[in-house]
Amino acid sequence: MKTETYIQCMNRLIREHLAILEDVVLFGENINNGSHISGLTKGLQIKGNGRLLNVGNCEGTHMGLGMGLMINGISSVLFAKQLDFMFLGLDQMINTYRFIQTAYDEKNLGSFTVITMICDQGWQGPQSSFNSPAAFTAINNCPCYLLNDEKSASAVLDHAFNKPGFKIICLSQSLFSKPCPKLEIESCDIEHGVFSYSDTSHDIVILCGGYCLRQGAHLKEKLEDIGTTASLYRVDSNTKVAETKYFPKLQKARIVICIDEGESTHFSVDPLIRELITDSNDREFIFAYPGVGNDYRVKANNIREQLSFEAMIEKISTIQNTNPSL
Amino acid sequence: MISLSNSSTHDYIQQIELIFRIRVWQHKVNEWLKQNASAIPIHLAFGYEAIAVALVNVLDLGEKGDQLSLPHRNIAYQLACHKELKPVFDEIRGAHSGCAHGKLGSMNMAARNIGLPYTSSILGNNLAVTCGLALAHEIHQNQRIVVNVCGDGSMEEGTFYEAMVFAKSQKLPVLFLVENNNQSMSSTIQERRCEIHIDKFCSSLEIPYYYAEGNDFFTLKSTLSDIVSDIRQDRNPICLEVNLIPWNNHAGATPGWPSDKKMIDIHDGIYLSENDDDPLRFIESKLDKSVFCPAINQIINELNDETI
Repeated sequence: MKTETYIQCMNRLIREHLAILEDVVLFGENINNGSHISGLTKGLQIKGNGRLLNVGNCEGTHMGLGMGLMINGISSVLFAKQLDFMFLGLDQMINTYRFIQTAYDEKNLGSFTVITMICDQGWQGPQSSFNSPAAFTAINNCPCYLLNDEKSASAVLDHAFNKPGFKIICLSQSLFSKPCPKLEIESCDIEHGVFSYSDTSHDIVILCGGYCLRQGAHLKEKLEDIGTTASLYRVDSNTKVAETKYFPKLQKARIVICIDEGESTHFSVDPLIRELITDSNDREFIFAYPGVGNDYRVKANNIREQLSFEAMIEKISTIQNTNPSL
Repeated sequence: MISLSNSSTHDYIQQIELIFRIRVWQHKVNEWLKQNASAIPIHLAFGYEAIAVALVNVLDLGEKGDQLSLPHRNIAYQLACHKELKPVFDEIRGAHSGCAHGKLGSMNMAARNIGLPYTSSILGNNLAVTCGLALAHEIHQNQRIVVNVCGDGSMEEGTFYEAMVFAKSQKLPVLFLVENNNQSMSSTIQERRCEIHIDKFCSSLEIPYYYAEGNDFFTLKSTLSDIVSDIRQDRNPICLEVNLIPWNNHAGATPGWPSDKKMIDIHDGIYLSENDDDPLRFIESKLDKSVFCPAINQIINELNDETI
């Protein structure tokens, strides 16, 4: 059986979740033409009085359109080729949404979801390189979800399409042709965007931000090869400060390894890290940013190093063994 | 003289009374502003009374009815919809007794239950939202329409072009009402840009274009009645440009400073001019004074006694 790629999987999930909704407006540039935004919007169907609108190039109006629909109780999904394009809708995203949050009871609103892509597949020039959804959505503090794997993506899409209010969902273009991870989710707090894939150990907890679930899962596997069990979490929303109380192993974690992309001052793991840093438990933090090839930029014990994946595992073992009191 | 049939006389008297009431209410707010009583900018709309009342009366506004999407200078429409000063004035003051419990204030004042779902303080911002409101009516398959009010400043924003193109492309039931008062803050059109011929712009998009003088309540009402009927039936956008005079300052009291050339004083009477460029004078000039003057004098006396 042919392995389902990331974009095939995401497209299928989007289709499946939208197919059951009535009177939804699906809109965006080229969503029903050509490559269907690199396969993202292929095969979309609408029910009832819904609309599938291949619209002109006016992103500011698109964002305002979704807000107006939301006010009048109609749910919509805006598909956009790049997160950068959404800069043109910032006024609507900030000012209009703030008005709506003040004037309306959320339960009476429609749902408005923006699904867009992060251009992380290579250098496209200075104007197509804004790849920080966490920084983008910090501006209006809206929910922001990053689709990494099948199970959590399905939970996110179900939540986003059915919950009133505004939210942004981002896909990674660099993952498009790669196999889609099919990890099981043990539990999740979707309001805070925290997903637990394995909650077996509080010795080591791997916390993945951005699109780093693959790296986190790989690290967990390799640690298990050397007899070390680790829990695996992913966090992708900056809406609210995530609450660790829903994840006891994370709360008690002795060593927290944060894997996230390193090109921004805002990371999706930030709220959770802030909470872990300010609680009363002693623990060690290791920050790891995947670089080119097998290399990671690692910060542990206040030392910054460029390490290979294997060297990073050794480093983790050393920290674990030299801090038995943790 | 305008001749009114018996059946419409009562409605007309009520509407004209409201126009006069809105003028007096604005005078009261202006006098209040002169006392530096407001920490936030209030955008009065002297001279907008006729267009506001004409528009509100040709629409079927309400929770389940037509909708108005307003800009920051919205007070005349608010007063025409609420038909009393208190909920509007209290909202301006941020009081809980305001129409939005003091949460939205002056430039974002809205009240969905009476057909005012959205008001924006950002120039041109409401145009895109209007498209969404109107598309929702199409999805719901009702006969409701949305009126987007903007000015000669908003139409300079790119979103004006975008929204008109979008509304035309998607056949949305929207009236784009452009209040051309030749004023954007303190700048006239000539002081800030080249002429924009909205008629030609609309023509290029095949959007029907109408023009009306803002002082002529009777023509405004009949024109708007026809336009609204067309939109309701054809489900396509129409543009109406209304010529208005910026009688008051952009924001705050008029006069706002000692050397201010603009003078509005309630003690000089409620009129802005001796001529019929003032919508109130225009109405007076067209109607039988023996019918309307007693009623209007009564309103003026009543409202002069009312404190805010």
